Amino acid sequence: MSSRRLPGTGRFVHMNWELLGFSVAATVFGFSFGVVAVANEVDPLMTVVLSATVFGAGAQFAALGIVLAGGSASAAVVSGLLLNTRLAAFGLAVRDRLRLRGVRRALAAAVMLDAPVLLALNEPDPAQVDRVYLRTGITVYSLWVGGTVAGITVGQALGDPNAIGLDVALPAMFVALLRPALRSRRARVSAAVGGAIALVLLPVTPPGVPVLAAIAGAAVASRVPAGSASSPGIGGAA
Amino acid sequence: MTWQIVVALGIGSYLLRLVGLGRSGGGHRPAWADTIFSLVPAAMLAALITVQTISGDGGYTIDARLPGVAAASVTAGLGGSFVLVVIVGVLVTTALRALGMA
Repeated sequence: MSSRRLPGTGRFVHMNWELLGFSVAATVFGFSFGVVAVANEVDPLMTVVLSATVFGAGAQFAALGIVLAGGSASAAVVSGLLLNTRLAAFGLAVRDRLRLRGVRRALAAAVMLDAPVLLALNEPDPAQVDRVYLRTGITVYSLWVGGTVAGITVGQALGDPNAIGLDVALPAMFVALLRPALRSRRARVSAAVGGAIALVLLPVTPPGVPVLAAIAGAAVASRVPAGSASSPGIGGAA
Repeated sequence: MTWQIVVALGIGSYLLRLVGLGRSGGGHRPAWADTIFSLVPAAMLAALITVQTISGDGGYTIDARLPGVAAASVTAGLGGSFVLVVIVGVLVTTALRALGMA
């Protein structure tokens, strides 16, 4: 949240466009997850608990995707958690700005996501950081979980997901999540190599293994120079 | 989906959130580890797209999912929103199935 003084009036007008954007995104993610999970016969209670505790789009959809593909429980858990490791870095980033202690710090961890961390880091007034973080986090969390519940009711009404094209909703969501991650050349190489590894391993390994093995793509990409020209053939992976 | 998976993911995710907020340690990971971690989502998402689009019966299955995901990719490449990307993918696949494609 950014506070701006309205010119000529001396009153503060709170500009909450950032929070509004994050709120819409959270509702859409939660709703999509509820629809797709329940349409694929995941237990509704499990679906809500996943949204309420995993609380990360990539992690939730990845775990769901691997379970639906017939992968092992450990592959689903490891893949999901790997996509949530960025949260540890988020915590490091805001650790010194947050003054919350005890139960409130535990709550701050529970609602941690991109939105509260970014808005807390952007808050110019140190005295407001705790309030901005918690308000953003709780808002986004509530809409995420509420969106999931709404999605579950819709998903239950849809019936067989494969009769219509709903089985494509999951890979299409991955596409939508991947697109903004492809800004750097290294990220594009990572995606290309990861996609290629999965393609090769798909027919020869148990389900879930191709996605875990694809992590090697990140290691390969980290060896690539950060800023030089694009290499050909990158679009194929996305 | 099983409760084992749900609980393990939930507890693991909370610990990941807590570890960064903790008071002690942290902050001195080598730079190369940070670089690799930041690149992991792109690799895994690309792999998930591949698997979700063309897997079936323990091997490759090309069906109406592929053109749907291709259409979603084009939509994303043109800057389409999250919702639009998903809707385009689902509609293309639904339309092709209505026309008789598997």
